[in-house]
Amino acid sequence: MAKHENAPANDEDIHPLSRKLLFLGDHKFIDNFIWLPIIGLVITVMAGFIYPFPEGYAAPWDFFASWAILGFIAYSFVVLSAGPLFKLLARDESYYGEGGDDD
Amino acid sequence: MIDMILSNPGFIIILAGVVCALLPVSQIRKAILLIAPIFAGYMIYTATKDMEAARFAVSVGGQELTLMRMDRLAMIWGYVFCLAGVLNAIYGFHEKCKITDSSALIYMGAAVSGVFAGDFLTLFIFWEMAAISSVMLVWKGGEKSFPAGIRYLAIHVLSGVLLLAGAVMYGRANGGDFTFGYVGLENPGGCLLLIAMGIKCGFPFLHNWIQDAYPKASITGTVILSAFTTKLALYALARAFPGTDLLIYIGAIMTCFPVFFAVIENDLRRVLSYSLNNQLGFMVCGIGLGSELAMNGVAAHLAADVIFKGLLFMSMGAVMFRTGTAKASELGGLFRSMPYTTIFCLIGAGSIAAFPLLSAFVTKSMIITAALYEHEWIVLAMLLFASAGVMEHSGIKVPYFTFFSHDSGKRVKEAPVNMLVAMGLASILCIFFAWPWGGYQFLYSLLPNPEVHYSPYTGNHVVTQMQLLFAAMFAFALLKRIGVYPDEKRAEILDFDWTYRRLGKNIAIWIDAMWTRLSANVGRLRKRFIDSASDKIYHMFSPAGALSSAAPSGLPAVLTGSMLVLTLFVIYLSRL
Repeated sequence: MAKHENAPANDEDIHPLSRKLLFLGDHKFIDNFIWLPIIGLVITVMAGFIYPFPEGYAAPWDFFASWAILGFIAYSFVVLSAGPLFKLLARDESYYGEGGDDD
Repeated sequence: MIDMILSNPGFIIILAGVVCALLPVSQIRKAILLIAPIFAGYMIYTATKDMEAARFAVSVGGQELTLMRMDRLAMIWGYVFCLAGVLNAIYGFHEKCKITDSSALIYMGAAVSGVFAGDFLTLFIFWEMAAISSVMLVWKGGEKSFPAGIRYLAIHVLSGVLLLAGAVMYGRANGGDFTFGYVGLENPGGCLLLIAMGIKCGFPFLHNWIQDAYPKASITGTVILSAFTTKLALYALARAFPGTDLLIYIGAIMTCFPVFFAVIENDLRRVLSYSLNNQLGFMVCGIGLGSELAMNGVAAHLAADVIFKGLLFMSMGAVMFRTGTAKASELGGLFRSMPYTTIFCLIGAGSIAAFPLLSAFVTKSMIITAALYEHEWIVLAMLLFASAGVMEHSGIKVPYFTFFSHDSGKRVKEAPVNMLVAMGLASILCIFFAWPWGGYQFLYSLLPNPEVHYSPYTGNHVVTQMQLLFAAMFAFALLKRIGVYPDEKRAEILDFDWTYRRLGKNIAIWIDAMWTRLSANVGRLRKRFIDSASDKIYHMFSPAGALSSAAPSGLPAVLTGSMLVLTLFVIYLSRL
């Protein structure tokens, strides 16, 4: 049986259960992972038509795809804020003179 | 005496902790560590059969202390603490440390005792006992944890002092009644109590002790710490300030701000500490909303949070135990070596992100729905924003950078069996609490207001929640693909603790230097002044001084006359 591309030289290093999960490290799998949320989004947005917000129990901005839009914008905003925030708040690990953390 | 020990389930655990401190055999200590919370849980179960009869009070110096008060709010907190105690005992089974075992038990016992305290004075005793016993767990993290432990202790003792001051002021305003019940913010004592609880609960600007101490504690210590301190404070808030509007906004801010720190933090145990703050925010917000549904949501989310947050800390602890680090920049690809830990971490991550069939889906949504019912639109938007943020830092970042991402090349053993068992049990609970066929119904039956109906598995709820989560996953995949997602870098991230760890310290050093200089100059000036004054006095009163010489007799008469005129003038003015 051919070795998996992500398998290390010594198979002993890999946990037996993990050998069945090595596809998770494949470039092909990683590149195509984006299709999982896309398909999920399409299905749930369509389902938004079937399961509308109950009458009187919706926020003013709620419509069939509102949570998807909110989720995308909120997540992207948080991640994109990381760069400027890191520049503003990051210091050397020995900044407080206590030698960093755990390791 | 025996009656008193058996009155409160927490006392048994504290006693077990004291016994453990004297026991040299690790196996016996571990058995006690496991049995004590189970026995306490059984005591709670027994007490719930007749809640009024479970009440126990003693009189100390004329002041009645209610050591045991049982109701449905205390009941669920008590059960959750005991459950966490059992999981923690299993998780720490490999650690042969007398101090950890005994302080973990005393700490847990203090938290349970505090939950069943019926008055503020009793609460204060266990509030401080929890602080003092838990600092041992921080200090077991090694030499680097010592300063963090000192800060932790100082902040918690301050919280205790404020609690006592607030309790005394509140008691005096209520004719000596210290009953631990609704307080509100009508009197100054209430404000002090809120600040005391806010410190322990991690309110904004008072939160830094969590991110400072938890990541520096021992591996087992962090897991234990995550379960009790903040949750005891949360209980106190739920008891004393339900429906306090201020808490709605404090809670909403608490859900949002940690998200921004978590995204740039490299230490994954610190990321989880921010995540803990964020989840507390949901519950604080629920307490502020104060409706029956919101209070149920708080209690249910507490149960879920203790388990899934414990599970996430456990999985990071297992990784740290094997690799020696919890830094995202040093980790990656560990699913190849630790597949079971990976699965358990993913269950914890899915739970906190509120995937359907995992615990937060049936708990957090109650608080969000309560905000919707109250038409708190801004707060609702903040809670939804925070939910997407949770997906980023705990749902994706923690498992991704630890177990997937680039392969760090670390090939380690799977976590020890006891850790796997604890994580496995926590995972089962994460699923059970959200299980649609009897699981969430069981959890809901333990809530403070069981008559309130809430159905989490509606089509709309499942669809909207999945929209949010899929959208967040899509944003992650897209940002990763276009190379915008930030890499993890080693750094110290400044937070509000900079004000006392750096600015405050520098101000103190400057004041000290200034004081040294000033005292030298003041000493010199004082000496010059005293010398000059004694010279003048000598020249005035000595036999050769001015007062000894003869003065014209008219001068004293003029001076006396002037004083008389001045006195008369002042009397005249004062009568006008």
